[in-house]
Amino acid sequence: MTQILLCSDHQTPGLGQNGVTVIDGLCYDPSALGSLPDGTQHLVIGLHRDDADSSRFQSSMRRIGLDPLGVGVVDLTSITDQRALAAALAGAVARTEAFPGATPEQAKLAPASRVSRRGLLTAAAPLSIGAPSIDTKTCQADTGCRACVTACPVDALTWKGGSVSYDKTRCVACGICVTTCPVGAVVNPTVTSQAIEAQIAGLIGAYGKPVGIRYHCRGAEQTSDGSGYLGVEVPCTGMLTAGWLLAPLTMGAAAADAVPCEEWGCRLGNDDRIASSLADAKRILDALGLETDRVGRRIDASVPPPLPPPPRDGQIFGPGIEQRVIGLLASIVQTHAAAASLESTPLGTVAIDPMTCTACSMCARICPTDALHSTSTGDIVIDLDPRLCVACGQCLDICPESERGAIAMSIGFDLADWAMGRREVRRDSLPRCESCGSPIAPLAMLERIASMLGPEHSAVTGLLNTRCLACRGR
Amino acid sequence: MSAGDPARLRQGVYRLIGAGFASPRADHSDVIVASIPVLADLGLFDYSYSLYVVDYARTLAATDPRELSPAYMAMFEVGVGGATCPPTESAWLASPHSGDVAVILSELQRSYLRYGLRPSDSRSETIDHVTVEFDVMASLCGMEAEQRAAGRLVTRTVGHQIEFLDNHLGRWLPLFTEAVLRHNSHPTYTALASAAHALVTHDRELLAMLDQLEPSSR
Repeated sequence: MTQILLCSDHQTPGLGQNGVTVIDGLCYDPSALGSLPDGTQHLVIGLHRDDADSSRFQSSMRRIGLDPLGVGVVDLTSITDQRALAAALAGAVARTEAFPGATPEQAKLAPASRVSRRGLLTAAAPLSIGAPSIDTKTCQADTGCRACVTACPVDALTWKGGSVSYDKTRCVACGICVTTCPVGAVVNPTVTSQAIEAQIAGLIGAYGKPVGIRYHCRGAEQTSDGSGYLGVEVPCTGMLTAGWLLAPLTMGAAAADAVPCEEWGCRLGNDDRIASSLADAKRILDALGLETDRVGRRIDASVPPPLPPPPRDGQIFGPGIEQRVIGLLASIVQTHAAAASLESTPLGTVAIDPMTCTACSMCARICPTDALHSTSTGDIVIDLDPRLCVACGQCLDICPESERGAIAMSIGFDLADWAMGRREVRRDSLPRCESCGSPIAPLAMLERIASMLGPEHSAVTGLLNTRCLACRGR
Repeated sequence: MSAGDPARLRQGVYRLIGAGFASPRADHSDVIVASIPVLADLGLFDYSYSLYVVDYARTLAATDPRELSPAYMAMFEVGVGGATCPPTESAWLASPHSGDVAVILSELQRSYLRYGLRPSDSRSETIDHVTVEFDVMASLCGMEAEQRAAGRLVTRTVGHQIEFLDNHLGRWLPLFTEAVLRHNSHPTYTALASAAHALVTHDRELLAMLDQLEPSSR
């Protein structure tokens, strides 16, 4: 069972709820955590952010055997009514109970810019925050995927020789790699899909009135100010994709907004990302005929009535969230024919020009989600499932004929296109070796090589066209 | 807390883990378990690795001391074709049938001399044994604590710590601890391997951050 401890200072309304322990001056004296019953596995504490010393609280949590990264902290400062407090606690309990545990690699000292040299190795205790780690079993870097490397705003990730290496010192733990990874291989234990979804469900379920979800950076104000917007803390609002912004609407929330760490914007310089995700979320709503003001950057208007909840099973957050969210919103408005061009959302579709594509299949090999797939039984066939494309653009980067326009990608979605499912986008014959019968290469590729070599190399071309690589030297 | 205490704490934790990897003595558990309150006073719980260190101490306290020696021998000393998890740097970084072992040992010897350290003649372990390498880090942290307490510059000593983790202990310890965790043959050594890994992972980050703020004289 999760223990809940709240500080009684500042007269927050509704503190005396069932299952809650209220402690005078908790913000100033974390030693009260020592009175928790043995075997406490989950803890939520309610503090006033300007009063409490986070480092001291982290020490006290460890002293009783709890990992601070898994302890829910509710900022009581901006709680204005009992209903908001009950919802904030329900959300925090759900998120805390979904904490998967952290490895030593997933605990990180607060970024260097915020810690003085003296603070590191002298008296002050360093603050520990959640950091990403890469699950090498799931990671697609060995096929060439480097989506997280490209997205990282501080170059903390590098790709070399089929694996991604991570520089913890450089990392600012913004979480962008977590939402960028197309296969969910990058995990920050403090911001997992399961925990975020559990918190949002907890907030919506406990509030009892139309609710807006307010994603906010860890440095920003946390909870409700009475407007009906309830806080969900993320490492940086720059990590939010359109899917993350829209997902609460499919869970019963009426609106969702994003609040960066400062009034003027994001301290880490991710304002463009936030703006782009918000613009895409609005485009998606618009394409589906829904009110675009349900998402925004700190919405001041009162919360509108929620959308009717769509029938759903399974989790929404996680890899493929964008497709699931659009599918659910489309089912609310009962449409099968919406489409929109987007800016940065990981949704795309690929077009292959059969006149210039040599059917080499490099695009299918690098595709991390298997949206592009190739088979070579008989002919060589490349097929595409647009529902799986995350617009990572790696097929464009690797295509040897991209300058001739062999492949193009557009960011956006088209429900009619999705409804068609997987379809063939390129087929070519596969000549066989005259000596051993093995496939040589796609015919278009052989013709392309011949055209590049020219007629003066016809002897070489003849050999290439009739013998496989292994038999050429014999 | 005085200015040298975080370094004193690190010295104590390296010493504790190093002792854990030594061949178990009769008073093994008592000494290690008794050191936890002392480390707590030095600020142990300010650091994320404390969870793993305390878990190790608790597991050790709950272990029948008669179990430890056979478990230690089976995992770190004997076995068909060698120990299951050899606790030496050369076993993990040297390629078999090459002169790498000698190279590693002579590099270590040179490093120890440069740091002003000399392994005690009474020790039975080789100079690349995990317990010796943890003791080396403990000694370097101890030097740092003394220098801080005396108000002297610590840049050189911190540089030695970074160098030692980068070139020696930090390079092979993850391979070694992963093997111990994989074999999972005794809960005490599984908990010890986790604690060792957590400490070194944390310290590499801490020292790298420090190095960024003020480059050391390596």
